[in-house]
Amino acid sequence: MSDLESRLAEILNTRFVELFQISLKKPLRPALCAQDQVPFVNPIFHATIGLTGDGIEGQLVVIADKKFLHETHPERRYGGVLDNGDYLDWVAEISNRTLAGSKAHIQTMGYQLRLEQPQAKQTPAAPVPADAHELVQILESDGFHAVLSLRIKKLEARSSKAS
Amino acid sequence: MSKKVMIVDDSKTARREIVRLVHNLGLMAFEAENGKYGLELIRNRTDIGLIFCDINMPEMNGLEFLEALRKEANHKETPVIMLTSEAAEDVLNKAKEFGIKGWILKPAQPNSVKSLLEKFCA
Repeated sequence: MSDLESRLAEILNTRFVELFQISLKKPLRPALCAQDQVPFVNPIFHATIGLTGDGIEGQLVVIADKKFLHETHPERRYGGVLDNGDYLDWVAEISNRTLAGSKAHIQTMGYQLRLEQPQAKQTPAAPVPADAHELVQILESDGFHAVLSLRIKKLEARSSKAS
Repeated sequence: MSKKVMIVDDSKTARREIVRLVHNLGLMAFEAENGKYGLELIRNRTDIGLIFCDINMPEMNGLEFLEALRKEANHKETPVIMLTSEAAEDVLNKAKEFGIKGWILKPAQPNSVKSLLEKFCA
């Protein structure tokens, strides 16, 4: 992993974890396993959002099992009833908030991101990347998991700007 | 009679976060999943006290909604608060040109939303 990729991954991972610290009362920790060994519990929900800008191209993918999304959903505070449509909406919103919340930091690396609409799906298995270079953050809480997958296709060096 | 609240956001989760707080204060809320639908819902209404509006939405985004809203006779000065996950200066500066009253970073903090509701709708 290059220094540039490491910085990008750190920015996104930090925001990803921050999102859950507000809503999740239980401990959240990095999982000690590889992505292809994450013991997801079906059904799995995932959202993909483009990481697009001048000199940067890739995708951010959030993958989570239903229980993880249930435990972290804002509506949980009010005891609201949630269905699969709510989990799809929440996983899409997580991807959107992770990327949008990182945009200003990524801008200091010299990349101006264009935000796109996330696409969310429910699948029986976690999606596997095709040919892109992938960096991942795997989180675990109470045996349930969420993965932040950063699929980089292009990342050209840029002059960093002061934040 | 107290004013009503409009929430324009393509995320149902984000809309519900605000709607809960609106209802807790005994106020009524309208929801729209994009700017185009939001505009249709409130075009002829004169009882809207505050609009919360997301920026990144399909169909009609937050800035396009603001521009169209200000062309409506009933909403030239209706208070608008932008809901955003990014503190992007260029986008917020553009929104200020349409007279927004401020912005809230997602996830919306209940106390911030409550203060705004009390200020504009009570």
